[in-house]
Amino acid sequence: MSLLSVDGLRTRYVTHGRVVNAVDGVSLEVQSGETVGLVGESGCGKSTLGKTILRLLDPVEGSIRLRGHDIADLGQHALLPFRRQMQMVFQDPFGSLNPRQTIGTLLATPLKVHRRGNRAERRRRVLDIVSRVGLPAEALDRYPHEFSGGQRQRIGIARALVLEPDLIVCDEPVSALDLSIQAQILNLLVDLKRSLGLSYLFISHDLSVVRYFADRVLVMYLGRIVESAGYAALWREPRHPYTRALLAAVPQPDPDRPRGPIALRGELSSAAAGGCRFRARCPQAFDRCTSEDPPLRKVADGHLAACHLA
Amino acid sequence: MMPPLLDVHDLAIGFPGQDVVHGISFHIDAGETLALVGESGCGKSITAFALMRLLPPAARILRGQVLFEGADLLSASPRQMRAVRGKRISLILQEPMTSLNPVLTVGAQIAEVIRQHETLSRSATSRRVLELLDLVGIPEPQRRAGEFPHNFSGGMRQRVMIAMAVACQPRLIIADEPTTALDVTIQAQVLDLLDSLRRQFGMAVLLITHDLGVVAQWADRAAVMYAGRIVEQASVRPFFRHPRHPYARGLLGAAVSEAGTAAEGGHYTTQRLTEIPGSVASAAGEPGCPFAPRCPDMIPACRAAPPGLETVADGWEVACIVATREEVRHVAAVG
Repeated sequence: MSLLSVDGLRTRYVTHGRVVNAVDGVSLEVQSGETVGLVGESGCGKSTLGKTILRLLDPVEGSIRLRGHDIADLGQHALLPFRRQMQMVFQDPFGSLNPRQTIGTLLATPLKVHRRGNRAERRRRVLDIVSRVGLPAEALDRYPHEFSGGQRQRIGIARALVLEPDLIVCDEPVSALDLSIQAQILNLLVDLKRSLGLSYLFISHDLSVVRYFADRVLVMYLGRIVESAGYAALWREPRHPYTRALLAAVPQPDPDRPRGPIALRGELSSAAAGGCRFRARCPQAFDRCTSEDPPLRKVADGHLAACHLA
Repeated sequence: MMPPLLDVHDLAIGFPGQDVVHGISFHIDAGETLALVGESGCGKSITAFALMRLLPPAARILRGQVLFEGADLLSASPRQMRAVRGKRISLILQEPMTSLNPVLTVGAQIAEVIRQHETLSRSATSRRVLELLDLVGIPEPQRRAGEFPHNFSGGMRQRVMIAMAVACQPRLIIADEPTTALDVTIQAQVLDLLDSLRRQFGMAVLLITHDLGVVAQWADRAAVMYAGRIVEQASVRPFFRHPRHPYARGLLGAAVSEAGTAAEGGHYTTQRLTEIPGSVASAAGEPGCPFAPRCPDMIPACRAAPPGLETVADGWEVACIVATREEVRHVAAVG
């Protein structure tokens, strides 16, 4: 059984009387111990998808199965035991840490909410987590502002880990960090995955980071998954024209490997009714793309793409 | 030999109680792109603002010279500076939404730049505005000129900023993280546009960035800053092939690059990322090389004084006593 299995998920925002399907019929799976990367441009719905899976947002349609239990329609109280199993690491470790709580309080709070252990046991658990993420025990008596960006992200990771979850949704966890600190945090996430048997849904706009960190990669465009493949296959043989354009646009830190021409014109905009939602920007669009919305279908073993030409 | 377009000498900048740039020297030749690379807080943005004499009130220029077309901008009068800004040197910032006026149409803001520096009739100015919008790839310039910044996407707003920056065909554009807020496909479009305009008008660009991929793809030379000092500067090609300063080497090692194919590595299952231990704050208040506490090559002499830039090859300077010593040994062995 998959650790996480999402089927036909839809999340809707209503703004200024306009309805936007930010997540528009997404199905995906995360196996136990797997890291699934989720990439796409800003506004494609990747963060909304992550938050809906954690039930921080409510879906309008579809199922979210955690080890087979559908949590899509559960009320807050019934959700509590499942929340323990899924946690989130946010992009901005400062905005997501209460500035008036010490790190010790911050980390013990989830344990209290979930009624885990007594005071002494909670303290032991918090100490253990803090050392696992590479912070000194003295950190517990200090406040978030006393830490650098990289250290704050370690605290954010510690908070996600304190309840011993199986799945962590990481939403751009290293995007706000400097390069030298990014490597520290990515190495830490790898170590924790190995020692604790974690699974990650790793949301990022940075393709190089996802290429390094994910086992399997989902490419999202305007609320839909348009391609899904193992990291090696996706970089070796991207099938969707959007994926190809995205990969070609990443500037390589190597002056001897110039970028190819950017086939992609224009910017992410709302989907035109009917047909493929990528067709307006697609260099290969033809008649059928206007009349028929391509479904996500198998194009090779373990490789799905939503394109008539894939 | 032509003197450089911009020649910065021993520029030092401080806030009360804290110096942030400790005497940096670099130059930009006419028509070239120099990337000023470094992590947040290294002093690269404050350097850009100092060149334009647009420092925040608390900041002071402590010493140095900024020679632009032969004249020292640091001793120019406010009036002389106004004639330089937008006309001879333009600035493009990271977030165009905050640098554009939200209650003026885009066309009016571009026209304002032109009016500031040139005497053109009303109709000639508006023709020029439309030409500029067209030049930076904004479709339907006639209609778009009458719209407000919030009607534009991030990428389109940055194109508007570029239109304003090139309106008077300056000699130098300072672009401070111009694409950091943009998606990767838009980033490539915007930087390609800036690069083609640079060639077209023979402008020089000072490209401030933290992204090594951007440096490799769009710059001619790179100057790497660390804790308010330039630690290495060189042409991009040899620099990426063989960076000399341990910090620069660490940065390139820490970059999750896609060198090689997916099958042969560069994945967490087979390869650990090179970490630079600690953080920039590690060396605060110590007398020696600011990178010493994080440096894998540190020797006791590094703790004595911060090393100055030394030439290791033509157009290649490094501020590291270990790296330059190795260079001398290497040259001696080869020679």
